Parts: sequence; structure tokens; C-alpha cells
Amino acid sequence: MSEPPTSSSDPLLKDDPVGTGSYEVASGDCISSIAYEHGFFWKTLWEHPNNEALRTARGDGHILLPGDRVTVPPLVPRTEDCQTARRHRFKREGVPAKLRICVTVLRPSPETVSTDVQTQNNGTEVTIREPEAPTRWSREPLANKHWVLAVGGELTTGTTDDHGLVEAWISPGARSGRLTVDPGGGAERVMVFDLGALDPEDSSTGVAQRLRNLGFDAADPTNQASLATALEGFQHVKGIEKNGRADSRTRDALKETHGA
Amino acid sequence: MPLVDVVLTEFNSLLPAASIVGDTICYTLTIDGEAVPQVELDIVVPDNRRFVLSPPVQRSVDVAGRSSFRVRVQVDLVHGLTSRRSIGWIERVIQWPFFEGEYRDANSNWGVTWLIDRLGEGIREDDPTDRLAFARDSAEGTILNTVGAPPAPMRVEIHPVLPVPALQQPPEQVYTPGSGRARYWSMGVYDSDLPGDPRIIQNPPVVPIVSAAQRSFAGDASTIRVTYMRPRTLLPADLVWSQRSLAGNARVEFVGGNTGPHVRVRGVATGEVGLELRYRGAMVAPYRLLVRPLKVIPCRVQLCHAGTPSTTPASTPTEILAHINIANRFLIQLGLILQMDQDTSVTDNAVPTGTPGVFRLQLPAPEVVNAPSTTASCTLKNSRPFVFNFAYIINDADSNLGYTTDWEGPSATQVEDSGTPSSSFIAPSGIPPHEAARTNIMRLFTPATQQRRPGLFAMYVTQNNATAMDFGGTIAHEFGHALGLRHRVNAHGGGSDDRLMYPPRENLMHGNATTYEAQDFDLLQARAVALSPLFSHH
Repeated sequence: MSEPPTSSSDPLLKDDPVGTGSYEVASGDCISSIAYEHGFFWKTLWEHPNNEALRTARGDGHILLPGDRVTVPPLVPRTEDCQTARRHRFKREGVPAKLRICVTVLRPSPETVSTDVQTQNNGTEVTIREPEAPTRWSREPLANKHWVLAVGGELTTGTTDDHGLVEAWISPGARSGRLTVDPGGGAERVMVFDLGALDPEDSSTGVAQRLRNLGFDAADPTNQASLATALEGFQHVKGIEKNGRADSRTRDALKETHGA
Repeated sequence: MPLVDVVLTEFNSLLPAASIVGDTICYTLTIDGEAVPQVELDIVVPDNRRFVLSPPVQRSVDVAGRSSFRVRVQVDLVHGLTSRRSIGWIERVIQWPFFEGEYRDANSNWGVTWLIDRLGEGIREDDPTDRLAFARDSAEGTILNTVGAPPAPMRVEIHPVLPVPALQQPPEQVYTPGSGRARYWSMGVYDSDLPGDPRIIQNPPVVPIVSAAQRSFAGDASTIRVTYMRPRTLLPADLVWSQRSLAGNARVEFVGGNTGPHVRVRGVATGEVGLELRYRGAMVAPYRLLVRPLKVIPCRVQLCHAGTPSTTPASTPTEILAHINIANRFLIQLGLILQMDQDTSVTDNAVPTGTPGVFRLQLPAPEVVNAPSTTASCTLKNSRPFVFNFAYIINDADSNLGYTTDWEGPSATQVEDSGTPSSSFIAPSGIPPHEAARTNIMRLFTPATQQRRPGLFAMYVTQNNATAMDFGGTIAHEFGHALGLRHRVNAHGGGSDDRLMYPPRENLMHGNATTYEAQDFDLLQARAVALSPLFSHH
């Protein structure tokens, strides 16, 4: 999770923590990892009455903001009656967690690509006014590509499906990983990521993270002007009004495109 | 330890299939003459003539302190137990800066594909965004983390020609909207703002070694700067410069730090230096420069006149000093400057003006007005051996701005260079996406002497120059001729063509570009002037 914005935030975004309880959410935490560390099934924790405000504000316990507070009740011993002299298998609910990554490539429509280059000269520095961004883009899945996922020292391999989907079981306590798609091939992509680090979609860091994941890189996501540039890029591709603001329409589109 | 991986991936046979089916290939990889024993393998030749090595053969080379290494593959065909025949070898010299890439080489019998990988230096090709942020999910959840963008290759250039010629301006790449515009710096155009920094022209081919006493007129340090940077989101603080000696024990000193899009460097030890610019560890741009002691070449100026106001050049001794100073702004790119001769001896009835090195000289009118260019005698007067002699006159019969009348040719007829980036970024420059640099050959004036007196190097300057910049540019240009440089032209033709056509108008040796655009000298020219007897004399 990123640090909160240091410059003036977009008023449409909510960067304040919510919830009550003794546990303060830190970078990399989500309800699964908190529950795992405290010996709970994630739903037990998430549906605890004292976490209602958090539940209402965040909607999904896997996407929390650093500083949010979670009530973690004391563990209560549970008793199961079993027949003696027999062997019994107990399964801990909610372990492991799942990771789903949809790998795509954003491509401009060839007929909309311009090659005109202009320059803007202020005397000592020239900014190349590169060709206008193409008006139409398509997001295509990297389908049927071999992948290697390394999370918490565990290697998993597989092949993306027709939608470019990578799906793997992971430990809820894992904090980071590395995904290589099409290793050694022409479409090779290497992604290093932090788990549980995605912030809520209505926070400025959450907006910046989703933009970055999708390829719209804000030079400095903690800077409002920089974030606005990345937002304009996303709005351009989605064909919605380019205002550089994280308004509800843009956030909905961002959430839909990103998938979380 | 800086490592470069050499990876053999594929062989291709060019021999008729029938002649090799059933043979076994034995190949040996050697690096700098040292055989790599573990890669001598036997492979049954398939009948499709192409076979991929699986797994590829890989060898790491420590390149610390090296400017190149040599890779060779020797191939023999073996048939049965006793028949073995060589089908030749293929060799490639991998030069600094050891960019990653794929090479395909062949002899008449077979070809090989090899890769150069750089280890542990970061990823150069991708936009180096920070780590991505993903959400975990429960088994029955619906959270998806979608990633993807068009590849955004990093591209950083340190173009030795400033301003970067328009045709060389990158890029043609289509970037995701919102990724920001490229940054491209154009500093380096000089417009006579004396007394500015003597090293005002940036990205020179030579960084001179100057003494503390010389800094007052030769400047303290030269600026080397990035000329293009993409994506713009690269953080300047993460751009880190380092150096490697490519020849001799060359070394420069960074003045005021070694990070950011530009640095200032002082020459410390003679030779050739490769500057390496890295972004978060990944090599993104190289730059080559020569380091050598500042060469100070004495000169004297004859202010020629025929005794009347109309036959007296308008330039004053003070203005002449300004012209020389402007010329020095250009010439210091070659690691040399002109300095007024302190010797007060005179011949030919020359009269000192009170300004050291500047004299008045009365001549017959035909030597000052409409002077014959090839037989002008004004430049013979009041000269001293190996002291460059200027004559200021009204004009010549050919309407020239200036004309070099006497010089002794360099010790070679041409110079060549094959490093990366190639001299003046002549394509292919060796900087991705360009291919590896090829050898550039620049023609010089012949070694034949065109001196009417031993040690005479001389030119005249006419009042056809309109401004001080014109005078300074003309002096630097003609002085380049005296050191053996030919014209850099747009198209081949004419006897004074150096056979390189790039950059067409930014190079100071262009035949008719004005001083306001033609201000650059390149690495080949810097190598060439060192072959001049005038250069080596001092």
C-alpha cells in the first residue's frame, strides 16, 4: 500500500481510515491475512458485528486501507465430538487464499495511429509533442501463454486461459510475488507485485494503483497533477470525458476494467 | 561483478542437406581465446538444416574494466568414427557498452544465433514502474487484478550533436496516453554571449585536461547531458553516471555529482572514456569521449590594409580577440584553443597594435581587396613557424568568408571509428533500437604539404563576415581545414568532401551552413586533428 497523498487530494476521493478495533491495518494486510495470522476463518472476522462500519465502507475485506481498524475478538476454543480410536481429519477454512490476475495488452487501432511529431521550444529545453494518442484502443488478453508464479518461495506454473487469466492458490500470509508470462517468448512480461497492497477504489492511492496496474503510469501518484495526467489517459482510452478527475463514472470504469 | 552472458541458441547449416545428413556437429565456443570446455557437444544434424540448442549454451563473461571481448565458435562435422572436417569458424567482437541483443552471423557453410544478456542490472526494456499492487481473494471471491499496457520501452539518448538534427529526433513509438511527453534537450546552440562559459557547447567529443591556470580561459568542466528521455517518468535522481576506460587509463572526474540528466566532467587521465548512464541499475545510454591535455596553439593576426580607409578592414584588435574567443568556444570541443602569440618579434614591417599578437601590416591593394585565394601573399607576412597566422583583409576574388592558404597535411589520409554510439550518431548508432554501429571512415586532406614555408599554417579572413559569430565560425572552420579536416556535406561531390554525410548542417565543417547552426565537431574529427603536425608540434 502506498503512503497517503502528500499534495492536495481530489475531494472526490476518500483517504481517511475507517473501522474500530485494536488491530490497525498495515501495508499488505487484508482480511484473509489478518484472519490467518490470528487463527480465524476470514468470514468470522469480517462478519463480526464490531466490524460493520468497516464492512460497510470497504465492501470487500480483501481491499483495505492502511490505518483502517479491525476488531479481532479473542479466540474461542471450539469443541468437536469425535469417535475415539479413529483417525479424523480437520480442515482449516479459508486456507489457502486465491490470486487471480488477468494479463492483457492494450493496443491502439492501427488506423488511428499518427506519426506527426511537433516540438515545443522554450529556449533551453524542447518538449517533443508526440503524435496524438490514438483515438481507439483495444485491450486484448495474453491468451494461452505459459506462466510462472513465484509467491512466498512457492513456484506455480500454468497457462493463461482465453481471457489471459492466471489463477493460483497462495498462502494468505504471502506478501509479495513475481509473475512471468510467456517466459523466454516474444510476449514475455515480468511483474513484481505486493499482495494485499491494493487500496480501496475510492482512495487516491487505490486509483493510482489501478491505473498503474493497467499501464497508465502516474509519474508521481502522490501528486494530484500527476495522477490527473494518468486519469486523462485512462479516460481517453475508455472514451469518457477527459477531466483528469476520479469522478464516479471514471472510478466505476476503472473498477470494472481492473476487476477489483 | 559486472557480468555479460553469451548465449548460443541456434545453428543453421548452409551446406546441402544431402552432404550433412547423418553427420554429427562438434562445436567449440571460445571467449578471448579460452575454450569453454563444457559446451563441446555432439549434435546429430537434422535434415531441416536448422537446429535449436535446447537448453541454450550459456557462458558468463566478467566485463569489469574491459572495453570488448571476442567470441568464436568453431564447428567440425564428424562422420563415423574417423572422418572429421572443419566447416570453419565465426567470430564476433562484442564491444562496450555490451548492449543486450541478438546477433546472427554466418560464414559460407553455416550460421549461428547468439544472444548477449546482461545480468543483474535491471530491466532496460520496460517502463520501470514501481511494484504492482494486487489484492488477494478467497476461494469463492470475485476479485480480479487486471494488468497490461503496450510495452513502453525505455529510451534514453546522449546525442553528441546539439541541437539534435531534426531527422534524428526520436521516436516513432506510440505510447499509452497519460504516460507523459518525451523530454528532449536542445541546449548547446551558442550565440556569442561572451564572456559566458568557454565550455558552453555541450556533449563535446573531447574533455580536455586543463591546469588550474588554464581554467580561466578554457573553463573548468564540460557538460554531458541526456538529449532524449522516455518515459518522462524516469526519476532524474535515479539516473546515475559512471565511467569505464576504453583506451589507455583514461579517466574523468565528475564535478558536482554523478546523478541526473546532465553531469559536468573534468579530464583527469589521457585516453578514451566510456560514460555509462544507468537507471536503477540498468544501462540506458552510453557516451564516448576522448580525454587529453588541452592543446594551446599560438596564433598571430595581421590586420592588413593598403593605406586608405576603404582598404582597411573594419575589425579592431579588440574585436579580433573576441572573434578568436568565439572560435575557441567551438575548438575546445576538439580539446584545443588558440592563444595570442606573446612573441613580439616582427617581420615584413608589421607594426604591433598594443594588443598582444595583433599587428598592422600595409600591403599593396590587390593583396587586401579582391585578393587571389590560391596565391594570396598576405598570409605569408610576419609569420612564425608553427604559430598560426591570420590575415584580416577586405575580401578575396571568390567572395569567401575565409580561406586556408597554408597547412601541412595530417599523417594519415583517413580515420575510422566503430564504437558505440557511432561518431555523431551516424546510423546505425549502436543505441537501441538502432543496430550495432558499423565502421565509419572519414577522409582527410592528403598528407601532401601545401606550405610555402616550413611550419607555415595560415589563413585569411575577409570582411564578408557580417557578425562576430560569423568571424568566429569562419576562423574555427578554416582552422579545421588547416588541421586536415574536409567538408561535411549533404551529398557526395566535390574534392573537399570527407565522405560522411551526417549531420548535414550541424557540423562546423559544413561547407555553407551558418555559424548559428553549424557548431559541432564529432569524435572522428577529434581523432583526426591529433594527426596534424600543428597539433603534435605543441
